[in-house]
Amino acid sequence: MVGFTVALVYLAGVFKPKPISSTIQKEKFWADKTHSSSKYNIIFIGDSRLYRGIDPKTVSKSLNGLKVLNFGYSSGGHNKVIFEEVSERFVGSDKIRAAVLVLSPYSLTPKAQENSHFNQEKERNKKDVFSRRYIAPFFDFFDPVKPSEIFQSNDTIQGYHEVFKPNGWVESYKVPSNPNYALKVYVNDFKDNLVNREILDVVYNQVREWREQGVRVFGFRIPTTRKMERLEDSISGYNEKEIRRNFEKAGGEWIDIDDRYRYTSYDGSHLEKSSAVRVSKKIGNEIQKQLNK
Amino acid sequence: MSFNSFPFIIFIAIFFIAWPFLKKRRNQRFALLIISSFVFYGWWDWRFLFLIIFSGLVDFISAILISRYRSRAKIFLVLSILVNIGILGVFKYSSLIAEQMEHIFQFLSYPVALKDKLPEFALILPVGISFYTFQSMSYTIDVYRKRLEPTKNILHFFSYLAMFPQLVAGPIVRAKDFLKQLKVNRKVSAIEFWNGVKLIIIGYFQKTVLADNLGVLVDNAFAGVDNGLGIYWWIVMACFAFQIYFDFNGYSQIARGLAKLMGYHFKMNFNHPYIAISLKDFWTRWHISLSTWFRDYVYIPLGGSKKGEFRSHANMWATMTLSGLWHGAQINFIIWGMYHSAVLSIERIVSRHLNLSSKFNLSILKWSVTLFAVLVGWVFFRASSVDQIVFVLSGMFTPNIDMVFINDYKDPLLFFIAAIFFEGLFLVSKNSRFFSRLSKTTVVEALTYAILVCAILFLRGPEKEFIYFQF
Repeated sequence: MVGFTVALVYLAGVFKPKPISSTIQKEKFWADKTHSSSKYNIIFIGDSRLYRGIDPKTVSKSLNGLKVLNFGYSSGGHNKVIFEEVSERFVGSDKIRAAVLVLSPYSLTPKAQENSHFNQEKERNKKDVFSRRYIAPFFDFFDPVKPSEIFQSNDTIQGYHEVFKPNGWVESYKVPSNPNYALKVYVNDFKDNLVNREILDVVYNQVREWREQGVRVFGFRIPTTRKMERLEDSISGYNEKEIRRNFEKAGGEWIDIDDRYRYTSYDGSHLEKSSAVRVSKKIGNEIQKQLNK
Repeated sequence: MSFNSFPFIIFIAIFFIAWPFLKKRRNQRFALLIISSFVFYGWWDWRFLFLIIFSGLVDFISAILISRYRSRAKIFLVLSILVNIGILGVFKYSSLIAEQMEHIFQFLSYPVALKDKLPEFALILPVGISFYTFQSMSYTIDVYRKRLEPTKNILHFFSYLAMFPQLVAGPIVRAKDFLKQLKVNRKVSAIEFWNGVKLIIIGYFQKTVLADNLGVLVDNAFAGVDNGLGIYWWIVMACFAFQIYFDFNGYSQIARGLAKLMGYHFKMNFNHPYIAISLKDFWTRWHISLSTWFRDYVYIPLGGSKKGEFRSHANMWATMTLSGLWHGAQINFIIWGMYHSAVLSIERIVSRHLNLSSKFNLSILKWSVTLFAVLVGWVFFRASSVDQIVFVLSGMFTPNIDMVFINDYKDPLLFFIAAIFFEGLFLVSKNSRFFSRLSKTTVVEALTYAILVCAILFLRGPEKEFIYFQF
């Protein structure tokens, strides 16, 4: 009985399909991102548009190998808690240090300031974190699969197809792809939840503070679909020109993405993997230009 | 430490390596059991170990005093009950009480902030507190009622109270059933061992494969993700019915299996509740250790059904409402308890005045009505606010047969079908001697459990805490 079970488990483990989104890798990814003590030169801060949309490895290549971290979280907001967390992760002041704020409209709303995803990961008990980071990855063989992953070919399986990369990027696409999907969701998200002046003031103050500490601060609006951008401009209270002006006044450097509508989103909000790599290269080059000045 | 966690696998391996070596040193064996149980519990939060130890010591000493000083037995019993209820009150209900008092003062135009002034420890709910305090209370009550001789061996008492398989989510074990098992040096036969392993495999399968996968659809629905109407909510509630059943029954089966491996026996906590043909029948099959606890220590002492029809209904309402409150300090659990009282009352009145069963075979109709009542009841249990209860119920009772949600939830719905199949197997094996015999043959049994193990390892859902831990 035991031998038979072991043989069956071995065969199932060897021949099971690769999951479209590995649970073990996902748990390790978030535990690493939140609890790692590694230090970085460049740290990107923002929400899911960031963690799905910016590949630190590509950015790093454009920056001659500087260490880059993508510190994005689902529904992540820009507030003091996150800024302090980021400050802890910079390399010493004798090296290049830069914070890159990915200022999406939602990340500047009151709801986003709850940072529930970040807090959930941060408050996870130490034993769980240890297990997720150092023990569970040894059991990759036992990564669970869904029935649809067994019965369907990999590229037709509905849902998020994700690869969790080191340094914080989630290479993503979704089946079925629907560039209008997120529009309805965002209409709800901005109901009684608009971009807030006080939150923006916290951001500008942080820009000043970092500048005083010798940290360069960049900011940009990450590309999404034209429809989404129009929707956000009309209902979120986000005024890109004004934000840019105040951001620069505080000492930040704004990165203009002139080809912002040439990227592809699978759900109308987040960038699919090849677009993420392209925009990362562009951002990396822009930062390099600014650093060279 | 949870049964579905990695540290538990290490813990249980060490425990069962040490356990057989202490076969002949019984007190050391109990010491190992108690220390292991404390490690198991303390893994979650060691500070609350003092609560179990304190509550246990109070009941251990009270029981001895009750037995020795019969003339003052009532005083010791009341003291013991006050301590237990006090612990529950502080750690489980203080927040609810403070909130309700705030509402009353608000109504009297005298607003006060009581909840914010509660000490921090009162806001943390110690895992399994309702289970072990009830277990501890039943011990002193049984000694007071002379149904049980108090044990003078503190190791026996704490082995009974804190035994790790059932410490945090039951089944609620009765001292009169368990203490006598501790006195005998039980040898675990090969068949008992195999039966224990089978229970553990079934329990893990029910929890990790069925309950956790069904939870994906249920959690999304109650988080408000793409909610539909009509049939959508009926399927969500049917999924939740299976989720909570397999979650809790899974835990109980693992607990029973682990106890069996140690040579002990826990009674069955669930008996296929969704085949019940009346709500009364349902309550003899659902969380049996709690239902019988409330029957023996609340309903019967209140007079049960022996003091006239009105009193019998009132006693039942009191018992069911308390049972709802036992589940949590939230208004929805109280409504859930009262809803079940109302349906049980209606059922009693209808069955007394309309004796249909003797004329027609109405089993299928009765089963359908029972299932309908249970599913509606689960809305009160699962919802997190009165607003959500209203939202879900109005969704359920809005006629709509749009099934578009199937596309997004193919996987959870496959597990829903698997859950029906899994429960259906019980009915088939009950009614077919051939199937029953076939399923017990060595080859079929080996194949079945090997497949279940594979499913646990490769088809498990997103890891979730056992639902009943919060109670």
